[in-house]
Amino acid sequence: MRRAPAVLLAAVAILCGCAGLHHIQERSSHGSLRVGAPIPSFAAVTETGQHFHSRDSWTNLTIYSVGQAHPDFSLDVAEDVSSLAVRKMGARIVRTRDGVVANLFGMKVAKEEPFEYDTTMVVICDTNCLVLRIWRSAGVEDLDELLKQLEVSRESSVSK
Amino acid sequence: MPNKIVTIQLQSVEYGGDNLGDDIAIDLNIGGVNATIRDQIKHGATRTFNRPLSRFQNTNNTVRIAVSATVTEEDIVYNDIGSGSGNLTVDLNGAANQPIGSVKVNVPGSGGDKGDTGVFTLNFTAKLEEVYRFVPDVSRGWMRARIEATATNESLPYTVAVSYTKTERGREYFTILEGAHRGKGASVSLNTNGTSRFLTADPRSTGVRLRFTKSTGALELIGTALRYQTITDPRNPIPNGEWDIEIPDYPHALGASYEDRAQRAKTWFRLGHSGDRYLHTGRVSAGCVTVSEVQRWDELYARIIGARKGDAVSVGVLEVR
Repeated sequence: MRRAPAVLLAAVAILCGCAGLHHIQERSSHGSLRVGAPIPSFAAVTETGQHFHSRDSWTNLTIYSVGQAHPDFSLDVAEDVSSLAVRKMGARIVRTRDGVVANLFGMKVAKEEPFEYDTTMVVICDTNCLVLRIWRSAGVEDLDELLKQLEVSRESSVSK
Repeated sequence: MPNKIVTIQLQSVEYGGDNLGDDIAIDLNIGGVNATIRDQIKHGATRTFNRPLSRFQNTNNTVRIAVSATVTEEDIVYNDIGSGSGNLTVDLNGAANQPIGSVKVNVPGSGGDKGDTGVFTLNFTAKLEEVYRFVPDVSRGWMRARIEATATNESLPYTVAVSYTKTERGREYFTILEGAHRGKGASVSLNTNGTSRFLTADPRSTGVRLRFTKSTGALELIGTALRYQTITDPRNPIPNGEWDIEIPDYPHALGASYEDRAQRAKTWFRLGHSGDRYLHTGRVSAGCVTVSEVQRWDELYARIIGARKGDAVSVGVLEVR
């Protein structure tokens, strides 16, 4: 009898998790993005003056999160990354609201005052800047769950 | 209804009839404006002056101007003097340079020239100029206008010159003279108090020259101490050379996220006359020249928005090296 509440809780948690992600749409392409292809080329400078290029290879995954709530362009690495899952993976996160990136990623300006895009995007690239996954209507708050999916799919592809 | 600036000119003077001498003074009254011309004119010759005599703005189809002239052949003892008058007619829908009539003045001789008559024919021309008006600085530098041929609304950038055509049923009609929509007929509503939205004073100046040094990312406004930090995509660099900087084409929504720090962030200037390389502000560049000092963009904008290279399309030139 003691197991019942635990099972129930687990079921609720799964349902909540699913409910939280049900709006996210995984895409094989979006704007100039295509899974398996290099990410579009662009250069950026962060608010702290750090230079960044989308095609510079890096030691681990690069996660892009694009949405109107983000800074102009920020790059979080190691302990600066707030998501535990992302930190555990050793990935870095680019958060940006810049229109050039949004345009390359196939987003459109839905409203100018207050400024708002038609969606938010999360895109993951591998160390060679190839696009691994594209999620529309996703944000940094979804990263833990999205990375779990990524891990699962990687494991299943390895086991095959 | 035309709206033109008219310049009346004394185009030439023909000296016929008898020879009275060649020291000629011509006193003119053109529509109430007085002018005197003194010069040597040889008998039998036509002397070209193209001298502007009066300048005014008019919105009628035709203008009649009364002209009176007194011609004096100046001598030490006896001046030979004659007068004449007439009307000049300017067609405001006509050619930009048009003959508008002549006035004949017979000058009877006196003293030793008694019995002779010099005949002076004064030929007048009118030079017509369009009355330009200019897009005002509204809505962060963009005024919406209806393109008449397509019945679509487009945005026109601050300082663009237009040629006024008419005012009808609360709207001003005009032809766009510069920028991406040049040559198109368009209209805007009048202000709520019935006045024109346009500027009458010309806000434009001569073309600017900018220099972009890729190795340092510095953008300089030549002739000033102004210097801006930029970014560009080194994997898709703008080629070296000279690029025309176009009058802004349309408000770029992609700049909207920077409007909290740069009011003119949606104003992008295309580099060259094709393609999608622009001078704009932001923190990301995909091949543009991107001014990363966002909070200084409005300062640069103010320096270049009203500049004109002289081709009705460009504000100046960007030198890339």
